[in-house]
Amino acid sequence: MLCQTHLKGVTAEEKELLESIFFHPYDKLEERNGALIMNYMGGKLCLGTNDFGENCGNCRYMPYIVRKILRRQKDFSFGKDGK
Amino acid sequence: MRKEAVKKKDVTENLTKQQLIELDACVSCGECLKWCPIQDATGDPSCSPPERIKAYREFVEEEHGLKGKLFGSKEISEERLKNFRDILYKCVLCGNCGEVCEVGIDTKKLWWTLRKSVCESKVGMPEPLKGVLANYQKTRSPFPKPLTHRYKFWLPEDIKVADKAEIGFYEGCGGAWDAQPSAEGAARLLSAGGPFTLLDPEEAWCCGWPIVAGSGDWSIMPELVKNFVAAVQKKGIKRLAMICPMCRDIFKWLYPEFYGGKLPFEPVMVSEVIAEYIDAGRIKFTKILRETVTNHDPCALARPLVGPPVLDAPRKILNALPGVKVVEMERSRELTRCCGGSAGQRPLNPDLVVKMAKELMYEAKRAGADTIVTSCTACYVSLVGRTHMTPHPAVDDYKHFEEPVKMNDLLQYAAALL
Repeated sequence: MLCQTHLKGVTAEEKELLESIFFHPYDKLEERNGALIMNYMGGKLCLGTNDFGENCGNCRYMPYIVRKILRRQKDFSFGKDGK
Repeated sequence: MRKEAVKKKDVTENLTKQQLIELDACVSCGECLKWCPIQDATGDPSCSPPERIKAYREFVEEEHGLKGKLFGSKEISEERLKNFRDILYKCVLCGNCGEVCEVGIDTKKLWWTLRKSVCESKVGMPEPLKGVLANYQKTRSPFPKPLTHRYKFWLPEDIKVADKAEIGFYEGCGGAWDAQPSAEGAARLLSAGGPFTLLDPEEAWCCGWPIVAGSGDWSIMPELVKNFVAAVQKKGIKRLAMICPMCRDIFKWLYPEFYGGKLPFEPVMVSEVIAEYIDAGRIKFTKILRETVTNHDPCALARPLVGPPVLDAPRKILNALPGVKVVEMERSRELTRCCGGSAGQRPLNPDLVVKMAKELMYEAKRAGADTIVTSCTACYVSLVGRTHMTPHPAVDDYKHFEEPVKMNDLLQYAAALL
């Protein structure tokens, strides 16, 4: 599944770390309207529940640092156009 | 550069006597073609194991055989070397050909050695792999990122890491930069069973596999071995547990050769350590998961370069999980199918990687599995569909999967049930 969750309230230190994971042109973070849009994995767009039925804060496909940010986030948008 | 300035390498220089005999032993019976994942994906016999051997045998013949003696040793043209390089690098080094070889050729070591020879020849390694080497030269990892960051993505704050311990965990560059959830799962299980330590991040270099096996450049080995042995000893590690079977493979084969004897630590898979913890009652799984799961044996565990395969430890872990039913795929254990994600194929032939990964996912579906688990960071990346080093069109192809089966790392899967 393709994760394009919007990360909000990311600190400067976290952003630096995140950019160290997302380095390929097709697998990079995109900044839009103050949010960072994930581009992680591939295939069908995930709308907040992965194939194990887990929500973003508990998604097993996410690196720990990403789950940490998602757990404190209140509202979620998915996809480049923010579904 | 003028032609005379290029040092002419003897085509037999890197081959052992056994390998020279093996070149002659291939009878082109074609058995390996039935099992080769590249043949499955391309249907192109020109890049098959017998064709590779035939082409290299011709080089040897021309330099050292009767032909060479009668008509004079002839330099292999650049064009022929490039053609040979194309078929040699269209290979995942999975070793299935050697497993089924009727005359017992150790093909895996042969392909490693031939890549070394090509890399040292005037044509060098394929262009896309030069980037991997350039990254290594800057960062000591195949990825262009600083080693100081390598534990920050996956090591949760609630996991206690000892300063020194007999068990060391090396998550490999795949675990640090590509398959972080696998590294996290391993750390959670190791920590549940006893103390473990990590190498200092600046000293946790790449094991060398992507450069040595993937690209064919063995020149980095001496400094790698020196660094690793010192880094491991500094932490009092007796067993270095890893989640990447390719790391284990190179530690088992080439490290002792370059170290000049037995290593002062034992390279093992984390799954082997966890299986021991389960036997000793040090780890108990308390949560129940009603699911059918199949285990994908990574090539380097099923057909390692040295020593026995690691096939039972992952199954022991799965069988210890409450509620989980384990089924086997048609091709499992020693004859496991390759996921396609190793030996430089992601940058070289991304479309082939997708084809091979899909084949494996469909096989898991045919076995009736809800989930396929693996013990390899490269498999994890291929099967999850992560995009590092893979052009986008190939990843788009995953859309056709329609998610026939879920994918997870074995250790992460098990850690969720602690």
